[in-house]
Amino acid sequence: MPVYTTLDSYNAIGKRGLRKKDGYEKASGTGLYTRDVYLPGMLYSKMYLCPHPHARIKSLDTKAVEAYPGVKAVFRYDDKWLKDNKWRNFTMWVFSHQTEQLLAEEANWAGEPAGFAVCADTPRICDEALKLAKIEWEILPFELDPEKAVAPNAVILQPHVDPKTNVRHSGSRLFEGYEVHGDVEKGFAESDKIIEFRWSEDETTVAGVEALSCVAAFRGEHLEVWAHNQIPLRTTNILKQYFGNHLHIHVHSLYQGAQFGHENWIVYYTWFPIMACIFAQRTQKPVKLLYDESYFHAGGYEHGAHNFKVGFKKDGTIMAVQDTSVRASAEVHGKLWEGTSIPNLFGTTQIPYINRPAAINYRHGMRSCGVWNNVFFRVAAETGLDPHDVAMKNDGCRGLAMSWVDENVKRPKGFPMVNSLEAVFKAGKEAFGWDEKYHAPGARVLPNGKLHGVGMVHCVAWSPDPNGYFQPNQMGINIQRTTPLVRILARHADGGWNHESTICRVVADELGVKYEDIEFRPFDDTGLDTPAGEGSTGLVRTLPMAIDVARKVRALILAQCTTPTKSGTEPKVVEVPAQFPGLKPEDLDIKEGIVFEKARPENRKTLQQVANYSWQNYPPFIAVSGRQMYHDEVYYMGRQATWVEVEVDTETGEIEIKTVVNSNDVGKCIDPEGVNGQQYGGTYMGLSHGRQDAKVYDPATGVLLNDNLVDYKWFSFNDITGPMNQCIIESGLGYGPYGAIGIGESLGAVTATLLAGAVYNATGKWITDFPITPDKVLKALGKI
Amino acid sequence: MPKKEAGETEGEEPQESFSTISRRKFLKDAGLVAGGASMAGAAPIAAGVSGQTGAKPAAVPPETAATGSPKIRLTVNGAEYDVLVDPEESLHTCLRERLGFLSIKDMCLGHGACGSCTVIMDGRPILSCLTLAIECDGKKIQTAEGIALSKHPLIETYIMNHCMQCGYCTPGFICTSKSLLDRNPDPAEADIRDALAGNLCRCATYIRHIPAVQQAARALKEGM
Repeated sequence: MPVYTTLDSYNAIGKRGLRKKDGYEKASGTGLYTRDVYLPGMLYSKMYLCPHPHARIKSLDTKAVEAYPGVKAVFRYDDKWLKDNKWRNFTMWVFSHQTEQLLAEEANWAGEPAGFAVCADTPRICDEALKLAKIEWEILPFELDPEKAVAPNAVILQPHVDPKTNVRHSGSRLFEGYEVHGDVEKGFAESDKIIEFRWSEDETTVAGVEALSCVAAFRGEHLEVWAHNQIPLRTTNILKQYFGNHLHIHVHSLYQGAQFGHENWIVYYTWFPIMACIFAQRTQKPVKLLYDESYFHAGGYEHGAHNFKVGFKKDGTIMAVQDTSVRASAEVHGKLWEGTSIPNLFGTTQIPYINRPAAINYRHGMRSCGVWNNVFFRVAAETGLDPHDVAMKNDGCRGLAMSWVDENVKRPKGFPMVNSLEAVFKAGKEAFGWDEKYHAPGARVLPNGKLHGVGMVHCVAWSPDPNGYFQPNQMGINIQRTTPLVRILARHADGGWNHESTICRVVADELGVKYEDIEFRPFDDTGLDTPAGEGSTGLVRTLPMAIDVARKVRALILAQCTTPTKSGTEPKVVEVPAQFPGLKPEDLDIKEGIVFEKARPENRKTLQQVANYSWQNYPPFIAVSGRQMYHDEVYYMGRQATWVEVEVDTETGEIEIKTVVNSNDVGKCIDPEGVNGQQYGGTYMGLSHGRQDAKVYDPATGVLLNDNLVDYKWFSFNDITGPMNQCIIESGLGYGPYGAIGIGESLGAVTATLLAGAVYNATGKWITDFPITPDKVLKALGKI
Repeated sequence: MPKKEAGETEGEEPQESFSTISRRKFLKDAGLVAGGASMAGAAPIAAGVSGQTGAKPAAVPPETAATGSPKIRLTVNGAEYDVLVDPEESLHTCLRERLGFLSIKDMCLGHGACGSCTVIMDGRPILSCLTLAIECDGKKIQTAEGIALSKHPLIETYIMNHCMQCGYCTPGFICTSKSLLDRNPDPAEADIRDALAGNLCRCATYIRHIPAVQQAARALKEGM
């Protein structure tokens, strides 16, 4: 038996052409986002942003702010509320260098909310009032570069934390940043050749879309909040912590202008709503807190530098990989371990304090995938082998060959005996035309004078951990007596993955109803949560619950259809016959919303008739589930790959991106258009990171210079000029429902470093300092 | 053609325009009535909205126009509005915050870099964030809400082609695409790429807009 749930047949699952549940609202502009919430009498709030990269408040005079017409309240860093509520600095999870604070006294990056916030009648009054404060700063030394921050002579940035070093220690394994498997020295000794190289990436940001806001309104004993985030349940819990358990707190999660992951925004799930609530409590008015600068001041990728040492045999067998890195957030070298047979790995990361915003990653980040890509393409280049052959040679799990995985995992656990990487390569290489396009480095000059190059990157396809995550995961289903027939009950943050439609597909097939008859409005606080953003590739975690609850409701329906009941109260009690008298639940089936007798299909009732039958005597068909998946041991057996074709202009250094092909093993495809959306969407984002995304700071002042979409330009339509093709592989090798594997993160992450190999193939030069901007290309070509 | 004043609520006596009252008077009144939204009245408010259910476009002007501000007349999605605007006020602010057309987004926060605030004015797609409202007196404007209400086939082809993920930029794309089809009933892929090159989508749904626009073009030809 497979380790996951299956169905005998699939109807809505995997079918193309179903109408997106959120489509009309988003196309017509009638869907509401947090920024669109306006309440009667609503006030506005904004925060003061520190202009220095590292400075401490010596004195703050807000009298003029408080006296400004239209200002309703001012909240300062030295407010009694902070002491009364035992506010503690909130550590940005375990990955980041930075500590976030509720209005800093000592600001650690230019633009950090600091000192005070103001609440006023209009946003304009807020802006005007913020300029009136008199602040005297003690200017402190700053450092923007992680490598310089760990140098022996570095200025200590946080002496009150550690007077000796900027390197941050938490005691956790992730923070210490090492990962060891096997014996790298032994692996290097057994290698035919050892290469060493450097790889680095600049800081990027999710940049733009819906800038953060939060609306809070006290209504007696109720606190109602509209929060722009992926984990409304966490917001609820935090607000209870600071405003009291006696409050009834309702957090609504509307449509979300893209965030691409919760980790970077974790701090905004905490103090950001708190600020709006403080003002709402003090003014007794609804308050909308606006943080327009948020997407450039936060939400960034990690950045840093790696030094690699790789040992391999002439036939492409990689014997050992060592990676020492300095980063603004933790390196997780796990992808190499999870998805290869490389027996010896050693990775270590130093994470120092620096004076940039808290940075973790979004859409997983380039980090692990960058490591992966560099190792394989480098070894292929050094051995003269095709990168696909090197990939196949080293395919495996946890340092073990795939043949071992076949016999010890796939076969005993009931997985299909198929090879994912082989299937991924077969489909993708053919669609791309790799064999015709691949050539020796720098060997093909096009008629237009540009250099032609191709690149390929492969990786594990991951659902990082299909087991349960941090927060409760709950969902309900109710069969209605009117339309819509089926209503799914859960709060679920919509980040654009079309999870709502996907969940409806699964419920449709599991319950036996039409996809069109299901409604899922995930915005309200129902007391049940499916925290989409709580961890990566959340759908793989959410769907087991949808399956479980659909099956429970189905069982309820069939039991009720075959069970007589009684009506009325004593002494007038009458027998109410079963709707399908004389039959057992197993004699019935449900398809397309019709309950029928298997042996006599003409004996049938619609679900609506069933729900309305003697409704005063029966409880409603409603069930709730909190089921999550648990697996003792997980092997990542699915694979993915992307191919790219580029033209490099040797005069300007520009890289034009032509053909792109994605081939992804998603185990079981539930929402084909949704999968395609992650494929091309992730590719655009990843290649944008690879070619041009980067935050630019003034080294003299430490101030971010390109904090807007004019100067920070991510990929638009014509940044990929050629065709994009997507191949979907369904191997059944995932641990998710029906064998599914998540895809939301992997494309954006994996494709980010794809250009390194393609530019090498075009020019014969390695450029691994990301993004690969024209000046770096020209420098590599010796033109400047 | 229906004519509405910013400040007029259908079925009620016309009230004093929100834009005509002073800040002092507004603050005074705000304590006596439900709030600025009900005074503005140009569109239903989102007050008390629980999640999305029952939510309507909101019109709660956060900014009050100064006394003596110029009055302009706009025809938006077929309805006329007379509205007082500040001289420096953008069309984006006027349409979204005074008149409640919330499909008009503001991804780049007024830099004219993203296209999410695109509306169609007198047949041309324009960036409402870089357009002064007082320059638009007498103009005819169409927003995504109006395009949807007119049953334009683009709405359905956008849905079926998955042209949106988070959806924040989608109304801007709808306006640009509709304007393209108004000018060019049979756009080639290059025409669509050129037309939409100024609209940013962080989810990068770009390539799906090509079949969506072309299918809508076919539907228009077939009179659907």
